[in-house]
Amino acid sequence: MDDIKPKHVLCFAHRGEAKAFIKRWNLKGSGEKALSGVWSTQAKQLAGDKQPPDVWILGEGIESAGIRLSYLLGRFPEVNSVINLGVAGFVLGGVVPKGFSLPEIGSLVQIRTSYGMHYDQKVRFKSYTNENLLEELPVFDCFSIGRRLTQANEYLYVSGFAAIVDMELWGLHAAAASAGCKLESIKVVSDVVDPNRAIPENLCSLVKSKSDELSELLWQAWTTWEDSRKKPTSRSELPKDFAEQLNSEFPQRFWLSSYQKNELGKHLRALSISKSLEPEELNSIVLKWIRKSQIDHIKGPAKKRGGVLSDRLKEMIYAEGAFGAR
Amino acid sequence: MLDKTFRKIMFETDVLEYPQAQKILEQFSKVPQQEINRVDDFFGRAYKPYLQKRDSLQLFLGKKRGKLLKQTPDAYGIGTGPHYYFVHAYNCIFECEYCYLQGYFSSPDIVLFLNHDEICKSIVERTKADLASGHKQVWFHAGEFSDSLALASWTGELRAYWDCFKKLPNAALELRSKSANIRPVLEQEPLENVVISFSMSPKKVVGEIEHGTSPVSARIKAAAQLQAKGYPVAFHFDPVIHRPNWKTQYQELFASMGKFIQMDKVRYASLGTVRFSSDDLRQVQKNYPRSKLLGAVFEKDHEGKHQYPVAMRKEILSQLRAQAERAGIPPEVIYDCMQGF
Ligand code: SF4
Repeated sequence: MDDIKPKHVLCFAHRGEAKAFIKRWNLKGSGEKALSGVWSTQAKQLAGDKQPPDVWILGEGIESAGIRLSYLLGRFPEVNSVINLGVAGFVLGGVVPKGFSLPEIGSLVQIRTSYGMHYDQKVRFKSYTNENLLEELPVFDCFSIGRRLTQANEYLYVSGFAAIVDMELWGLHAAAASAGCKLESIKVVSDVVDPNRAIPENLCSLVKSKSDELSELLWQAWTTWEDSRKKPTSRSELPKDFAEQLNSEFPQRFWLSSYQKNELGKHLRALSISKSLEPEELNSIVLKWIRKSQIDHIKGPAKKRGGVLSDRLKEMIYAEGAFGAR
Repeated sequence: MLDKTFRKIMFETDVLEYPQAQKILEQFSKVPQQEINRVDDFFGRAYKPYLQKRDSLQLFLGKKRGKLLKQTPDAYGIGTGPHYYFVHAYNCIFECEYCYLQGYFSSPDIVLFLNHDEICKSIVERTKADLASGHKQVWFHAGEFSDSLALASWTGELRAYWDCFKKLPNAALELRSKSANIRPVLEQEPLENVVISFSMSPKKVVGEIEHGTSPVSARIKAAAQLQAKGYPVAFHFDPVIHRPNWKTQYQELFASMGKFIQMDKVRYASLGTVRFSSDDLRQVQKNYPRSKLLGAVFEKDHEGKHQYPVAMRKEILSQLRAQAERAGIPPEVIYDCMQGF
């Protein structure tokens, strides 16, 4: 499973927002009625990374955009990562996370937690948080509303949860989560709303009057995302499965039931923390220690040795000193 | 410092009748503020991840509605009388990795309830009822869902509780804290039945696990200062975290305490090892996957709590008891807190 390459798609609410992408990548809309809004490259022969991602135009509104995304993820199960690019408003008085300042119109923000409210005007308890944030962009939380807000006090209410407001994101998250798909979002701030004053009548004016400019900004968001993801991560490698290593070092000497494997995993995690050892380092120390303490020589079935190994490792967690003499 | 900590303040219209609300709002005038109808319309309405307390913490000011007092679990405090806790705040500005609040509310935002007058009224009524039914003393605890002293300089509620307990000699109040912020206590006169208790852990554990709390040396000095001025002082060696060299670390802790504190005058001292509900443990694993707390195996006890193996707990508690006694804390005031053997 882990070896499957992520297949990204980019999703937008309106075609105008995606203009710059469609043009640059020379994308063509699908001729199939059920796939209207799906734009793909004609250069299918380009391999791997060179092939531009598909663009999906999902329409406006939490429900309708969410339903559309659900459908498309069902049709294209190979897609495991969705990047939502779109416009959003900034509500003055909303929570600005420490370290960031009020965004200006036209600036890019990435969304951390997505809150939502449906047509019934009830806030949804479920929120979605993206832990995988880019260093390059300011981080904000977003509240998705089910309909266009017209009253200042409605914006005031929303600002109690988040500072960015849009009309889709929560629905997209819900759809992506149920398909087991990752979703990230970068927004261009198109309006700043002061809930203590009258609501400007032409909210989202940027979308209509300056869609070329807006689409270019979203292109910039995409390139920022792409560049950031290409950087090597500093995260340490996950440890190789200890049971596998055990089996290759001591073929058929230890047998562990699924429960015991699970327990052993817990003990190793606890040991790596209590002895301040990186998991890989710990694995090799434990293997050496098994050899030295000759647990693999204990007489009896492999199952018995598996049990002894698990018990001895558990004792080690609380033992003072490292894997020295016992 | 706190005006950078809170990113927004939301206050109920109803609390504006309390001068304390006005004071808090004035003190944080640079923080965006919003008048609301009810805290419940926002707090806990949508799940807010716990660690967002680090950069997106909101402060709510409201009135506590519903039950104002709750009975504590068994073996919570010393003595045989009934113990209650009252809730005048939700959540905490500190960040102890073992804190059960990370799984308790669906938001880390801080709520301060300002209707201390009503809470005090319930305390008086409860005390009268319990004394009438034959109890000799009734205990009330603050700090079940927050730290009692961390914000007390800003929130200014201690006066109300002092006035209340001054009139209730058969009731006792415990203010539990990991903060050395004793200024608001020193503004009140010492009362025999108001005990300030400090949770104590070795220096290393405080540094690794109790983020943002006062250093243990500061807690010791704060406790000593209070004691010297006649305030009753108590300690909680709870939760004890098993770390390599824990015995030596506790020996050092008791030795440092002994230098400043009159150990024979300690009102009480509780001992307890770290314990988690399944939900709390999941939260710790999620929020602090490499926490030193997780360098242990936990076993489920008969109440479904995840604890160190029984033998380990017994060893820790007996060692600690012996060390506490050797340090001069009278044996009769040392008790095990909610160990459920
Ligand atoms: S001081 Fe108490 S309430 Fe605050 S984080 Fe630590 S354990 Fe939780």
